[in-house]
Amino acid sequence: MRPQRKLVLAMNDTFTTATPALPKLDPEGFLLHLNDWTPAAAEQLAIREDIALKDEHWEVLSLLRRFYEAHQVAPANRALVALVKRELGSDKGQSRYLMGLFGGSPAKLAAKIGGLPKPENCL
Amino acid sequence: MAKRPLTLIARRAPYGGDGARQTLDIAFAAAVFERDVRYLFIGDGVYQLLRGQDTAGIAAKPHVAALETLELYGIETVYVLKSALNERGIEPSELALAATLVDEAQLQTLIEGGGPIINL
Amino acid sequence: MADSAQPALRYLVIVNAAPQSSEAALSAYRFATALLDQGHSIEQLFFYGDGAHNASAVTVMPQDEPNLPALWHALIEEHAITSTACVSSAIRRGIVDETESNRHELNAITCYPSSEIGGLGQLIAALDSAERVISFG
Repeated sequence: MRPQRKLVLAMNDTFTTATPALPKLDPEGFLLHLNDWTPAAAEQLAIREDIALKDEHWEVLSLLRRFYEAHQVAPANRALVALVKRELGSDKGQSRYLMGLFGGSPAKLAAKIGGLPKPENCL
Repeated sequence: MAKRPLTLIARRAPYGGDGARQTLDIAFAAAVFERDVRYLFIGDGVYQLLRGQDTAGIAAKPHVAALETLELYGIETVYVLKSALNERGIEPSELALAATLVDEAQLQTLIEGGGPIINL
Repeated sequence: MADSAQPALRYLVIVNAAPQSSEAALSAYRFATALLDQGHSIEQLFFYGDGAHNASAVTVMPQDEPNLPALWHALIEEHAITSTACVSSAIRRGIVDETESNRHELNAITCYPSSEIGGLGQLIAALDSAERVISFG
């Protein structure tokens, strides 16, 4: 057994508050408490990922949040594409459309910005 | 070579243990890796499919709500052993998912259809 | 015991039970030992659900009782078996490697280094390469 002791840095403590206070985040930038999510928090979470939220983002984020509320499970990419296709049409229900909005791993990034639980890296 | 389908056997009630969810998580993973899944519900497993599961009092997520997302993973039907419903007084109309009802012989054909089986 | 005409088979062994709460994990270990003794191989050992406890490096047993995680560890090393503990099962049970420890800001590593913390993708991939699948628990 390897002994292991680490300093735990409280990363959020190092941020100054030039913008409205960002809720507490974990080291990967996920909300520590899902109840802290607000549309304003989403805007800030997106900026941290170099994304300026537009209507196209919001329509996917709202859908994702409604889905999570109904099913209590975050969709993998495959399911997110199918969900968007079903609800928003086949033009938008495509990997490349979602990657254009949320980068290479849309389900993970949309979960982060949309205030869903951090994926467990199970896949 | 086409991948052989994965057969999952769900035989546990939805709460009181994590077997039901574990099987579902394997189904999600299999679908993400583009493998066909045959999802069979037998024994107490059929309770997982009941509509209207209210888990507010037991600090658990409603399992059926998660099962309902299978469709988005390309798993559009599940197989349910008819006699398991009958023995428990459950009508097919009480199931929340599109289900193909099978008898014992059909179940056997599905299980023997080749490919790996996981039965947790 | 060993049937010389029998071809060697590659197994996926899924362990879904904790060492202490039932006999299933011990049975899995005995089965694994027996199949290796007979010339078969383990393509993938997968600790799932409560089975994640089998990868715990911090299990302490009295000297006159088997320490199953230690036995698994030795078997995995001896036969260079690919062993994985499902990440979502493991972290719920306090079984973490360095990556997960960092990711969740913990200050301990509790998983034997002979098992990796990994995803269900490992299990699904092994379905193609293994000729037999067996689960315990």
